[in-house]
Amino acid sequence: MSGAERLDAHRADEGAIIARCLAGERTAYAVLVERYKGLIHGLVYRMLGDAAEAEDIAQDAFVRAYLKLGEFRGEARFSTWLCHIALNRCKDVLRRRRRVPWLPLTDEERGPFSEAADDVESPVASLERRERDALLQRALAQLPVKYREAVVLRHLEGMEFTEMSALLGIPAGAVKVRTFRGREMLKRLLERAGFRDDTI
Amino acid sequence: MTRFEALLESHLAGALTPDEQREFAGLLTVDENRRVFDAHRRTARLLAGVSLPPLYPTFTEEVLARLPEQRAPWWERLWDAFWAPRALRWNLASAVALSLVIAASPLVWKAWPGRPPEVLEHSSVVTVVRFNFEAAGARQVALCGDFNGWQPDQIFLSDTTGRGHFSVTLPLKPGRYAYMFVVDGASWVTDPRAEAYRDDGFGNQNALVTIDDRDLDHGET
Repeated sequence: MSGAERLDAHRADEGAIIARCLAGERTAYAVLVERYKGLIHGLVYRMLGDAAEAEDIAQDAFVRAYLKLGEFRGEARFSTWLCHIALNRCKDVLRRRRRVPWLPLTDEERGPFSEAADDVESPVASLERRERDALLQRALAQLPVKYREAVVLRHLEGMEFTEMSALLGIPAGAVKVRTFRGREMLKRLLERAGFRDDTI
Repeated sequence: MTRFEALLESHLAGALTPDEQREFAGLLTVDENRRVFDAHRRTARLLAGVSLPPLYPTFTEEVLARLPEQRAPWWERLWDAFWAPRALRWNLASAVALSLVIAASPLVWKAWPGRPPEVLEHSSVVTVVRFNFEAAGARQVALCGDFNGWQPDQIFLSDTTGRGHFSVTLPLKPGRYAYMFVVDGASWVTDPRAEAYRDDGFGNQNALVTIDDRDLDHGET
């Protein structure tokens, strides 16, 4: 295997890639998965709070998007359309849950590369980072879904209000309100959880 | 949502107009507004620093494996049946006859009246190439080469596993490209797994990758 690995893609353009997928060329879809897997996995993980489940649901979102490719009209960006499908999958999962949708992440759940940051961090710094991330993830999981998705999209996925508006199907003003309220709730939850950092 | 809260939200998104910035600055002179602003800004910064668990490297392959098989439409199956390769028995006589037909075909073709003009179709297709590089402990790995004018600060590889497995994908048109990796902005390193090499004129070797039209069909060399 050479250092340069080719992905089977006849065109870099998304429209053309989608056309190839619709023509039955499944391997063309790999280009889109590679491009957006980080975005979708991040979104799903923040919504669900479970690493192993997030990977499975993110994959499921890609599969569903593939099956619905014929419905994609190109009116929104493909990434926005994909996020919409992933968010709907998250809501399906959350509806089925009857308890607080968060469990502490074990190293096993984090996967074989969970100690990756240890290569550059001291053990103490690594531990503090994990504790802080776990606390934040737990607080996020306690937010009502409509506020959680707003905070995740805005602050963790870095989306702009107009894109969030298109994705969530609500006016940009309402997006701002949800983001503000969500952050306000998150701040209180962190304070209540005894967040030791002076940053709150 | 109060006016102050709306302005605060736009400020955090970097979307305030100059007039709104002045209005926001005026509202921040109120102690309570300043306290709320500081708290929201710190929460936003805290969120921005959250790390994600890494994805398994086989994520994409697993998605492809989960895609349902599609049954080809009847015309494609007919086409496949027509063009599917089959074993042929042959002997020297049939081979000579076939050679004669092939040799005579251009002459017949040229002499044939009403032959349509020959059209050359220029392909605009590209192949997406993934460059991989192992650099445990490196903070940053960049890729440069003929395809970007050897600029070492344009194309950066990402380490999705956090263990030094850097990679980046790049759409390339058919051609032969020399390239190098730049580790932490200082060390120029030749790809140890390149398919070919050539001297760079400075005593080192550039890695080479060749994209030809066959790659478009086969995807991997």
